[in-house]
Formats: sequence, C-alpha cells, structure tokens
Amino acid sequence: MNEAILEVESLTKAFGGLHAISDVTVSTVRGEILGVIGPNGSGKTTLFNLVTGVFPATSGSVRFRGKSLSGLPTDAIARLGLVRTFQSATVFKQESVYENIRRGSMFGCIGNPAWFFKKGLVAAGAEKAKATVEDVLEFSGLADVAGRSAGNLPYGKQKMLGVAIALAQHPLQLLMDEPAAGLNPAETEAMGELIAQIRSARGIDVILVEHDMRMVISICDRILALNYGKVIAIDAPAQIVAHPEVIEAYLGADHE
Amino acid sequence: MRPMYAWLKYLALIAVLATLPFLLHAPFLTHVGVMICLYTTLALSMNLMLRIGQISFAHGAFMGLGAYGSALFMMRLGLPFPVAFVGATLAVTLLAWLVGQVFLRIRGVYFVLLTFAFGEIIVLTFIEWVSLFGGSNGLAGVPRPGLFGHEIQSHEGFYLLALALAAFAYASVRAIYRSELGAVITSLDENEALTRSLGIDSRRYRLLTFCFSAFLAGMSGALYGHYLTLVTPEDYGFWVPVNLVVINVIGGVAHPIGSVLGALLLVPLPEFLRDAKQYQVLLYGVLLMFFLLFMPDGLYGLIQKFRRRKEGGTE
Repeated sequence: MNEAILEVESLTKAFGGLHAISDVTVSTVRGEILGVIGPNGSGKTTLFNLVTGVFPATSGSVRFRGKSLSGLPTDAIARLGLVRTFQSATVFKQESVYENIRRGSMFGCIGNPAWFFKKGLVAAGAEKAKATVEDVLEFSGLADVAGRSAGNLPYGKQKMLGVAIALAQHPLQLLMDEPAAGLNPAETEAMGELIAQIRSARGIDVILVEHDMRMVISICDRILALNYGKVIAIDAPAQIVAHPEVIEAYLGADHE
Repeated sequence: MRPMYAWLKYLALIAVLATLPFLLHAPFLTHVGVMICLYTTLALSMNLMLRIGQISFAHGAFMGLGAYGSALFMMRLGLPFPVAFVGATLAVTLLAWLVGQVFLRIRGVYFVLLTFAFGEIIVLTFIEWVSLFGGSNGLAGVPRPGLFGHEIQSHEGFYLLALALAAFAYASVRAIYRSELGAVITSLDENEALTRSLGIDSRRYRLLTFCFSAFLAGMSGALYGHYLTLVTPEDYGFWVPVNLVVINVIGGVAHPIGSVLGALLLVPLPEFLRDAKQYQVLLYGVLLMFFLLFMPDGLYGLIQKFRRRKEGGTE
C-alpha cells in the first residue's frame, strides 16, 4: 500500500541566477492525490516540466516506480505511464473529439517510428483504441459531443477533453496542471468530481496543481505548498490551511 | 470490395494518362507532361514538409544532388541507369538524414533560413567545384537512361518514367496521410507539445518525414537531369522550393491532390509563355496573391466547396 510511485529528490532548476525550483523533495504513494499549491511564479508548472522531461533539472533526481527519469525525453516518460495535462485547454482543435481521444490511446503504441513498421503493432493498437475511446467518452461525459470538432467546444468541455486524452493513454499517474483554471463554478465542480472518479474508479494516482483552494482541499489527500521554488509544507489539507507560512505566502487575506 | 474498386479507378486513370502521348503525337505536349509529372513529385515532397509545418528551402539542393549524383554515377563510374538512379536517391536521403539531425531541432523562420543557407551552399559547391560538377556550365551530355536493354530517348519514354514516378509519389504520400503515420504528422503541426505528451518521439517522426521528402525530391531531380541531358547549378537554386510552395498553396495543401492540381495549373505556364518570360513572374505573383486573398485553401478547397454545395442541394 505504501509503495512509493513518484519520488522527487532535492530537485533544483536554475534559470540563470533565478532558482525556479530549489531543493524540492516529495514523494507520492499508490492511490494518493497530491495537491501542489503556491502563488503565481512559485514553481508549480516548472516542477511539472522537470518531472515530465520538458527541460532538464539543474540537479536532483526524479524516479517513477523506481526508475530514474533523468535524461528521458517527454515522450518516453509519457509511455511509462506518467502523463500530464496542460494548464490551458490543449487539444487538437481541428479534429473531432473522438479523434482526439483516439490519438491519445493510439500514439503511445507508435511513439517510435520504428515500431510503426512492426507488423501487427498498429493493428493491435487500433483495436485497443476503439474500446478505449468508447470507454473514455462515457467516463468523461463527452459521449454526446464525440463527433464535434474539438475547437468548437466550449472552453470547459475542451479542458475535459484534455483530461480525456490523457486518460486514453491508460496512465498510472496523472499530472494535472490547473484543471479548473478558466472554468465556471459548475464546470469546476464537474472537474473535481471527475478527478475524484479518476482515482476511485480508475485507480489512477493524481498530482494536481491548482489555484482553486476548495477543490484542492476537498479532493487531495496531502498538499505540497511551494513559495519561491521552495517547499514550505507538505501535509494534510487541514494542517496546510492552518500552517502560518502557507497562510502568509498564499492564502493571505482570504483566510485571515 | 470498395478498396478494390478504388484501385481499379486509379489504374485506369494511369493507363489513360500513359497512352495519351501515343495517341496525340504532340512532342511539345508530352514534354509539358514530363515536367508536370516531375513537378508533381516535387510538390508532393514539399507537401510532406508543409504537413509538419516546416517549409524546407533545402529541396532545390536535394533535387540538384539527385540530378548531379545520378549523372555522375553514370558518367564517372559507368554504372547502369537503375543503379545510378537508386544510388543517387539513397545518397540524397542519407544526406537529409544527416543534416536533419540538426535542422529539425529548429523551428519556424529559423528552419527556413537554415535550409535556405544549406541550399545555397550546395549550389555554390556545384559552381565552385569545377572538376567534379563542371562549374557554372554544369554537366553536359548526361547519358540517357537505359532500362531492360533499351535506351530511353523519346519524350514518350521519359513521360512514362515520370508518370510512374509521380504515381508512386502520389500513392505513397496519400497512403502516409491515410495511415496512422499521417495522424502523427498532422498532430506534430497542430500541437507538438500535446503530441509529445502522448508518447510520440517527435524528432524521429520529423526526421522520417524529412528523409522521405528528400527521397522524392532526389528521384525527381535524378530523372530531370537525364531528361534534359544537361545539369546546371541554377536549376536547383532557391526558386525550386519557392515554386513548390506556390504550387502547393494554389493547389491546396490539405490533400495531396492539391499538389497535383497546382502542378497541372502552374507548370505549363512557363512552357507556354517561353516567348514572354518577363510576364512569367508577374503572372505567378498575381495568381499567388489572388489565391491567398480569395482562395486560401487553393483549388482543392474550391472543389470541396462545390462538393459540399452539391451535397447540400440534394438534401
């Protein structure tokens, strides 16, 4: 039960003299939803970019299920089952909702063009994708808009689709970058429910970067609070909202 | 049975196109036909690059290297045509693979500039390395290709070769776009960050596309050299990629048929306007402006619009 999934150790990223992330150590266990909070510019997205190999860390290490991720490119990390979603709605706008999710399911099977030419691999992937798309459409509540072009969906649905594309990859752990950003209260609530479902019904671990404190507090098991790239606290939500440094750095006037 | 039917349709079309020059007995038209086929192949090779969102100005050089390569393999090494042709094309592809390792890390305008510089360097090499490439005069007396013991001399013979090449290029590019490979290639242009996060090794896929694109350009160039029996450096400068982009824009980049339509429309122009060379560029410019302003989806877009209207009318 307490098997560590993602282990981040003394991770540091310096852009010139600026330490966007400095000496961050955190690990998640199986079945956990970890929230990451912090003011704008505190290094949340940088942390995701480091973990998913968008750029290399200055020092420190990341391990996923015991395997070191250092030096691995984004696509290889995604194929290991550590999948991210993006802060702004990131979908293939010109394609249908169905095609978006299908690519999510399919592309992992043909990540390397050499695999594309292996006999049977593409066919097997396509077969699997069919079932996956139906399942994910149903699960994410997008079934009724499956045929529509992704770019024409309302923003909230596009963000849902972003999550659906990630789910189609059968991830072991999802890194979600502000899934509620830009959503109205009703959509935020639906997104929160979806994330809770992702863990309970799918057994997928989640790391959630989010500004919407209600969502973070209600669905996260633990919260990591960052400020100026440093960890100020890792604790249960109740302890985090009471933590003086967190209140000062982030929650500020709202929670005084 | 539908795919079978589609195949038969294409075969029938090619058969008709192949017999056309023998029925018409019009050498000049056949010559135009050869040029259309060669440029269709080149335009398709550029269409692949447009699909990954990277306009390559190296394609004039790839074409030229194919032409010089195949000519020199025959003239210097005395290799038979098929070997020279394949050898030159593979050499071009290998070079694309080598330079692609660096080039494809770069995006946008910088990629255009880098490939432009590469193209100019290659053309300069053709001009300056006189002992090998013959300098500004190029290579004269490039041998005619021989296939199965026959030397191909007639326009008609070349037309058949060029038609086979264009058909191969069209079939392969269309097959790529219809397969999962096409979905990957389009995704790379639509949203690279998302595509990579789905597990796609974007660099390898871009490299594969670039190499296949260079492969097509190299084949077209090789045939072009043997056709003219003369290979001169100015034929492979930066006007080649410019023309290829224009052909694709006017034909429509959304479908490989756009490359064919663009070549059909634009390639005959200079051939028919030989006596009025000064108007060629003007006409190209006016056409391009017209299409960019009023038909940004090109001829293919126009056809699609008519099709949709027709469908809408019958509903």
